[in-house]
Formats: sequence, structure tokens, C-alpha cells
Amino acid sequence: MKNIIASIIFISLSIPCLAQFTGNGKIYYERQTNLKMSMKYEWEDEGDDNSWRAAMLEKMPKYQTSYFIMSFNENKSDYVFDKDEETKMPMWGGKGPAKENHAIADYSSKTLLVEKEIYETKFLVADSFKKYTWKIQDEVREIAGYPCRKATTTVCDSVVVVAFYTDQIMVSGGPESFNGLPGMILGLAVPRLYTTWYATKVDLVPFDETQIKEPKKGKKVTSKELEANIGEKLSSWGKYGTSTLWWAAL
Amino acid sequence: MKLKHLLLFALLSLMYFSASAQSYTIKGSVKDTVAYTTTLYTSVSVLNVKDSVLKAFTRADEEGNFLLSVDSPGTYIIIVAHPLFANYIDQIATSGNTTDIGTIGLVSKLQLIQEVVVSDRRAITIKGDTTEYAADSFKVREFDNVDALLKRLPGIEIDKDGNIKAHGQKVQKMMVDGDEFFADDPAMVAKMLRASAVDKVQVFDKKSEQAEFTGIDDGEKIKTINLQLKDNAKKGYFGKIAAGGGTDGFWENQAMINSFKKKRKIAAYGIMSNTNTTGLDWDDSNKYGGDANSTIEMRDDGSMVSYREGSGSDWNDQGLPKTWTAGVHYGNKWLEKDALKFNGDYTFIKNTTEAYNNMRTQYTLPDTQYVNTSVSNSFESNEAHKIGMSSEYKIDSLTDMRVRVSGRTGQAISKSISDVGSTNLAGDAINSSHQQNDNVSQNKSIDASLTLRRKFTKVGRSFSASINTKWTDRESDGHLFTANNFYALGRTDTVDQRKEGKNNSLTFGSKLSYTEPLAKKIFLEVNYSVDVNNNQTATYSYDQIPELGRDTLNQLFSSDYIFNVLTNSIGSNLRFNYEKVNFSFGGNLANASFRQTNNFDNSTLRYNYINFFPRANIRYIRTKQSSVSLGYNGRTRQPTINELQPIRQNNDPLNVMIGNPDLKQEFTHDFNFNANDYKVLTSRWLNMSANYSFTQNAISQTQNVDEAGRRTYQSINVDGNMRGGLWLHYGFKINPLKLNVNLGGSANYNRNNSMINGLKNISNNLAYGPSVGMYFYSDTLLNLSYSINPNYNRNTTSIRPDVVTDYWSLNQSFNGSINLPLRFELGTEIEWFIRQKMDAQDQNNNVFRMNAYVSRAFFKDRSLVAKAAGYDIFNQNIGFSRSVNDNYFMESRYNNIRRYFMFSLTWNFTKSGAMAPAPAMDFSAE
Repeated sequence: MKNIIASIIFISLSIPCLAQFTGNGKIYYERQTNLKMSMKYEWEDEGDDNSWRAAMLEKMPKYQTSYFIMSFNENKSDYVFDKDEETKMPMWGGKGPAKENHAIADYSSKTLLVEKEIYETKFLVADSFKKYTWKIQDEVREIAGYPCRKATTTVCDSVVVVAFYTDQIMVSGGPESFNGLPGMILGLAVPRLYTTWYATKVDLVPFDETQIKEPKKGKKVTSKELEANIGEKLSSWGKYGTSTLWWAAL
Repeated sequence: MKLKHLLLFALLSLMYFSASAQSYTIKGSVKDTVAYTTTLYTSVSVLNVKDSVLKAFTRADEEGNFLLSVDSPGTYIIIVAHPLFANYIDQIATSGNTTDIGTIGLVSKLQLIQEVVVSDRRAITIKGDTTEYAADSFKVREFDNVDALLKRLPGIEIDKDGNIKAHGQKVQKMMVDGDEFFADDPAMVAKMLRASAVDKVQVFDKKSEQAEFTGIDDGEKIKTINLQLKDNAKKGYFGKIAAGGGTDGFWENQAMINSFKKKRKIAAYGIMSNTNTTGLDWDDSNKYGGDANSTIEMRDDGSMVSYREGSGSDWNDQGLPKTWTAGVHYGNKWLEKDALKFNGDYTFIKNTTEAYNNMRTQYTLPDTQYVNTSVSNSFESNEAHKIGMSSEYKIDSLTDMRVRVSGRTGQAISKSISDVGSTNLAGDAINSSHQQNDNVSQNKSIDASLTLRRKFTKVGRSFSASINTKWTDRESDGHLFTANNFYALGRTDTVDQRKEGKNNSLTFGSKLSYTEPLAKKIFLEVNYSVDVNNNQTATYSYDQIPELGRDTLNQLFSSDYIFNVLTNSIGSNLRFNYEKVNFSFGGNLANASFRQTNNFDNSTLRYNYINFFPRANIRYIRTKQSSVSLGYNGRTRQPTINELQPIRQNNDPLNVMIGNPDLKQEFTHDFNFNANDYKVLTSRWLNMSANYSFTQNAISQTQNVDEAGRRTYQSINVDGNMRGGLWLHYGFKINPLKLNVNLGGSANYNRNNSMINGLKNISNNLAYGPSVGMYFYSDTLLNLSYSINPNYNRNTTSIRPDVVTDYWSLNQSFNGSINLPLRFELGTEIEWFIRQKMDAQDQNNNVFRMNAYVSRAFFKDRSLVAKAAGYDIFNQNIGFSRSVNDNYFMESRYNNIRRYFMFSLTWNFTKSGAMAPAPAMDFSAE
């Protein structure tokens, strides 16, 4: 009996310390793409010689900003598109394929279900967690009030991805399909896509995983099959195709 | 209690070992050695020493114990992290299957911070202000990356691991033009961060993002380097010289150059040819032409529109053209973010066309059919000097102003001789006329406009105001000679007149428009415009009668009118932009009041019309590549002054126009439907469109043909005019063959009401045909394309239901080019028109036109190309056109460019260098 009382006292004392860690909540991400730079890249930069394109670039806004929300607990996370920032976008320069992905991660079975709309086809990519080779870096920065450590990895053979994760969120998840770090990814950057994801706010609220609306409709594939499905087509489209492939692989 | 936990721990360990026997276990525990707070959930990660790759991670339990496993023995880095404690980082080595690293004592952050503050104070060497380095002052080699540059900057150090320190502090953020730059990707560094691409290096202490957002300085600073890139600071020139000479006196010569330095562009070109190369093509006009006449805009719905004014020529394959044209362009940009832009152009153009035309028109009248023939020879020459200027100034990020001024002065000369006559189907002459027309005119015009646009921070709210004015002046001097023979009347007459014409106009217009978001997805647009047009048109005809003196004013065929038109227009449009459905409706109401003053008798006529332009459009967006839209456009059209009261003309005594002051406005209703579905990944697209329109009170014509074959026209209002069209297109790709196939079809129907000799005539025209096209494209070697398009035409009239004009035609075309070894290229272009003969006497109207070329490129950069080309190799390009209209059927034969062979040399030259001392940034390198 004494032992029980002692342990209750012990637990209650440790509560303020335990609050430093969390296993559930809601993260608000802001995704920003430097439109001008990515257009320049996709157009294989004909630069000043092509005055028409230069004039178009001039009329475009510098950034395209979208918002995503990720709800998570230690079992599952649900990353969904929320909204776009209201900016005047060129019709075709607007959102390309795989820009409003819906990702559901299951941390107990280590599986991922991602809904990706790539042109006319809605894909449901169901696969086990990808094995990322994360390199842990020295740099630490604060994102949404959490100290985050930098880690890097590569996707699609050579595309570098920079992530900032926090130990204080004890779920090894992140935006899009990224995971596998000793904490939650609050910041993500893919330099070659001129795009960053940064958490702007973390709400420590409980998350009921039964609320996840699992996408049902779509072409069911694994990530390998997805690549086979679109790879051949897109690889013949020059740099625009390449960057679309990268987007689809996130 | 302690024992229980140990037991549990041992049990867990056992379970773990049984699960994966091959792994090497690292265990230990973390403890707060000062305050003994719990270390539960402390994160423990293990990395490779050589590349920092994460191997394993876990969380400590209540007691601070942790257990990890790695797949191979060796040395690892361990990181222990807890928000209350300073990070613990150490190297550990495995020993045997299980390595116990013992207890790690964690140090509270509170303790640490005191220490850091002390060390910080010592480290600070610079405060506040930005230190800026001009990159060009520090010499680096041509292809050095930016780190080579940074190393040379005093106060900046780079250690062997690539860490950058500025003024003794580690640089935490690197930015490019204000954007965070992650240098982790080597490809990106090579692509973007050539030292030579950098204009300025700025070192400063960046406030935390929160502080920047709230404006409240929380004291947190991050050492930051910002690299300001150069604006593609290139310097150099490129150009092209092409010279070609051919058989039968054909020639084609071009020279163009574009020289650029920073943002300044000076370009010049000259072209002379008699092969239908009348100006810069689209590609060349981008490089060498001016921007003064081209506009690019993004509309509210996000569509980009670009248009170029006054480009191209209207040469339509008839006659033999000759062109001389030359132009100079200057463009530059100034101020920050290129806020001020200026473009100026000067162009000279001269073209002449010698044309011969033999036209046969068969008319269908209630009781007869007769044939009109016309043989004419004409020469036209146009010469003009044009200048254009445009300037754009961004006053601030929300406001911009644009000014355009253009002027033109030129001379047009035209001469024609024609013989016109009518016969009945039996070949008996009804009338004939010999006509000679000479005219020389001088034209001048000035055009100016000013536009001011303002956006607001509220999304969707915008305002724009524009004013424009145009002045034109035309003076002409001509001579008309006609000798007419009316066989049926047994009468002849002759006109021999000198004609002077004067036409000048001054217009002034202004427009205001405003857009307001009523709700998040609902926008209201309102616009108002007023236009004033003052126009004077005078024609003086002088009879050349020797007995009465050479220049006797002919009152009947002289006129002098002043027109004033005032138009006020007000409109509004409501737009609903939902994700899946866009809907808009609105309209414009315009009041146009005319005043026509006859300067001969000072009589005045006034007309006033209110015009209405309703419109509605709905679009359903199923997916990004698939949508359906339905639209309606209505418009009223007021009669023109010429339809109400035409100026009396005697240029063509066989066709006379008379006015109808009782004309009413016509109202046209247009409906259109469009559906498209594009499957990007499978390269399949389907497009379908349909349109239908009908006109109430349509302004049509009544024709009266007298027994002498003279026709008088008068505009009248009719009902029942309508037209409809259908268009279908389906394209797909046969993947293994790399073959793209297009299947399509179109059908058009047209019903027109008119009066002929007092009888109502309904003319129905139907044309339809399928089309098939295919192309094969292998980008470096072979390109082939082929299309076939049969077309059926049928025309009937109610006044002669017995006469039906129907015929088939078939168009085929083939294009191919192949790259051969030794830099040879071979290409051909074939067009083959087959037209059904109308009757047994009909001559051969088929055309088989084949062009072919062989070219070879010289030099390593293929800058010199020699080309031998043949145009219309089989000399089959007969000038022929056929059209069916209302109550006549017309065929025309004309002279045009026929077979010739040409040899040409084209040299593309380029010299490009960056501004000293380093070369330009290179985006294309990866």
C-alpha cells in the first residue's frame, strides 16, 4: 500500500516534466513553393532569350502557399490538405499533380496509405514505411516553439530532403510520406522543388483515430507500381516531367 | 519496486533477444544527477560516425533505462535529448553482443544557459547592422562555387567540414535573394550558387520569425548570410545572316542582330524577299522584334493572354509579293525590381504585290441563271514608317501605370485594270465594263493610351482607368475610267473622273472598371466607358471632259460629310467562382448617338441607338483536365451609316448600293457549348464543341438585277437567319509505335434570308467532313506527319430549288524530316488537294504541291547551314479557290508563286560573356 501511495505521488510530481513530451496533437503546416524559381527550372530556363516567358514570370506571384493539417496520436496520423492562400495564380501555372496529397500513417503496422491525384488519375498508394537513410546534423532550430534537429535524406536517387524533427513529439511521423526520425518532423524542405513545409502551430489536443476518413476511391498501387505507372510518361517530358515525378514520390 | 522493474526489464530484454538474435544491443540509462527528476521519454538516437546516418532510436523508460540494437558492431555516435536537459552527444563503441554504456548523467539546461551566456558575451564582435560585401570586388575563378567566394571575404571562415562562421559565430541561415537556401543538395549548389552569380553578400543578425511577425524584438538573433543574385547580368550579342538565291529570279535575304548588356537590349533586322517571307516569324520576333507592340496580361481568372499588334501581313497566297522590311528596337529597365521599363521601335516596311485574277461567278435568279466574269490585273504598293514606344512604371507593389504611343506615316499606291461582263448561260452578253482605277494615298496616324491599374490588399478588389486617343489622316488622289456597255438596253456610257479623297478622324475614349469581392467566392465587376469619334470624309470627283475644261466638279459623285459619334457604355458582371462550378452573368448597355452633317447642303441627320449586350456563362470543372461549359452571348448591332445612307459611288457601275433609313437594329443570340477531357498520363484527349446562333431583325440585303445586268443592293431587316456548327476531336497515342493519332469531324450549317428581285430567298449551306491525322516523332532522328480531310459541300436556294450546288473535296498533307549522318538533314512537305469537277467541262482543279530540301550544318556548333530547297517541285501550284455563298457560286483563278529552286546559306553567330570580372550565372548546368 505504501508503495502504491509513493508511486502516485511520484507520478503526480513528474507530470510537469512529462508535459515536455507528447504523443498526440494537431500540427498546422504551411507549404511554400517559390513559383518563379520552380517555373524557371521546369522551363529549362530559357531566361532572357525568351522574352515571352520572362514577361510571364514577371506577372506571377513569387510564392504559392498552401496549408495542411496533421492530426496524430501514437498509433496513427492523418495529414490532409486544408486550403490555399488566396493569390492570383496563372491557370496552368497553378497547382500541378500530387499537390494535395492525403496521407494516413499507421505506426503500429508501419504502413502508409496516401491518396495522390496525378492528372486524371486518383491513386491510392498503400505501402509499408519507406526506409529512409537519415543523416543527423548538428543544426538545431526552433519551429512552432519546439527545438528541432536537422536531418537529411535523399529520395529518387539524388533529390535531397531536409527535415527538422523534434524529440518532444514522440511520434516518428511527418508531412507527406516522411517518417523514421526519433520524433515528429515539423520542418521539411526539398530544395530542388523550391518548396518548404513548416509547422506554424502545434495544438496538444487528443486525437480520435476513428475520425480518419480513409479514402476509398482510387487506383490501388504500391509506391513502386505508382512509379511504373507514371514514370515512363513523365520521363519524356523534360524537366517539367522530372519535377512532377519528384512531387509524386514525396 | 525496484526489483519488479528490473525483472520486467530483463523479461523485455529476453523477448527482444529472441526476436532478433543477429543484432548488437546497446543499453544504458539516463539520469538527472543533480535534481533527480524523471528522465522518462528521453530520446536516444544512434548514428554512424562516418556519415551521421541514423541507425536506431528509442525512448527511455520511467527509470531512464534504454535499449537499442544496431546491425553491425563498431563505433557510433549517441545523441541523448530531453527538453529540460542539455543534449548529450558522445561516441560509443560496441563490445560483444551487448554493450552496456552505463549511466549518462544529464545536465539541466538552466545550468548550461548560464555558462553559454558567459561564452556568448566573449564571442560577440559585431552588433546589429548588416555587413555587406560586393561579390565582384573579390576575385574568384570562373566556375568556383560560392564557398570559394565566402572564404575570401574578411570576417568569414569556412572550416574543413564546410561550416561557415561569420564574425566568429556560426552561420545558421543561408539565404538566396531572401529565400532560405538549403545547401545540402550538391546539385542545387552547383546550379544556383556559382560565385559569379552572386551580386552581394550580406551578413546580419536575423530576428526570430516570431519577432519579425509581431514586430516585438524578443532578443533572439540568428547569424544569417543573404546572397543577392545578379540579374542575369549578361553582355554580348547574337544574330543571324541568311542569303538565298534561286531560279526564276527568286531571292530571300535576312540579317538580324540582338545586342544585350545587363537589361538593355538593342536589336535590328532587315529582310528582303519575293518568296512570301514578309516579316519576322514568331521565334525571331521574340528575339529581334520589339516589345512595344506586344502585351502580356494575367486576367482575373488566371488565364494569361498575350497579343501582338500589327504583326504579320495579310498576303493570302494570291499574286506575287515582294517585301523589304527593316526595324530597330531598344529596350531597357531601370530602378529596383525593374519598376520602370521602356521599349521603343522603329520599323520600315515596303511591300508590293502584282496580281492577276480571273473570276467566274454564277448567279441563281428566280427565272434565270447568269454568269459574271471578271479579269483583272492589279499592282499594289505599300510603304510605311512606324514608330512605337511603350513604358511601364510600377509606382508601388499595388499600382502600375502604362503609356503607349505609336505613330505611322505611309503611302499606298494601287493600280488596277479589269474587264467585267455578264452573260446568260447560253453565252449571250448582257453587259460589259472596262474599268481602270489608279489611286495614291498618304496616310498618317498617331495613337496614344495611358492605363492606370491599382490592386488592393483585399483579394479580388481592383480598379483600372484608361484613356486613349487616336488621330488619323488620309489624303488620296486617284483616277477612274470606266466604259460600260449595256447590251440589253443598247446603251453605253463612259466615266472619266479624277478623284480626291480626304478622310480624317479624331477619337477619344476612356474607360473605368472596378472589381469588388462581395463574398469569398463572389465578385462584382462594374465598368463605364465613354468614346467620342469625330470623322470627316470627303470625296471630290472631277469630270475630265475636254469641251468643258479638264476638272469639272461632279456634284452627284462628290460628297463631304462630318460624322460625330458619342458612345456611352455601362456594364456589370457577377462572377461566382466555386471550386467545381464557375458561373457568371451580366451585360452592357450602350447608347450610341450619331450626327451626320452634309457639308454640301448643311443638312443634318441624327440617329440614336441603345444597344444591349447580355451574357451568361457556366462552367463545370469535373477535374483539372476535364470540364464542360455552356455560354450565352447576346448583342445588338446598329446599322452602319453606310447602310442607312451610303456615299454615292461610281467605281463599279454594275454594282450600286442604296441606303435604307428605316433600318432597325439586329439582335444576335449566340449559344455555345464546350466539353473537354484530357487524360494526361495516357495521352488521350477529347474535345467537343457546338455553337448555335440566330439573329432577330438581321440586317441582310435585297438585290435587284435589272435587264441590263446592273445590280442594286439595299440593306433590309429579315428574320430567320441562323447558323450552327459542331466540332469533335479525339486524339490518342499508340504507345509502342510512338504514333499520335487524331480523329475528328466537323459540320456547319448556315441559313441566310435575303430578297432577290422582290422575291424572298432562303439559302441553305451545309458542309461536313471527317478528318484523320497522325504523326510520328522521334526527337532526334525522324519526324513524320500525315493528315487527310475529305469535305462535302451542299448549297440550295429557295428561289431555285432545282439548282443544287454540291461537291466533294479532299485535302491531304504530309510532312517529314530525317537527320542523316554527316550532319545532313532531308525534309519534305506535300499538300495535295483534290476537287470534284462541277461538270464535264470543268477543268482540272487538283493541286499537288511538293516542297523538299536538303541541308548540311558546318562547324562544331553547327552555326553555318547550307540548304538547297525546291518549292512546288512538280509545278502544280495552280492558284484556285472556290466558294459558295447565298445565291452565287464563285471560282477564282489567280497567279501565285510557282516552282522555284533556291540555295541558301544561314550563319547564326553568338558571343556571350558575363560582365567583368566573372561570367554570368548558368541555370542550365546541373
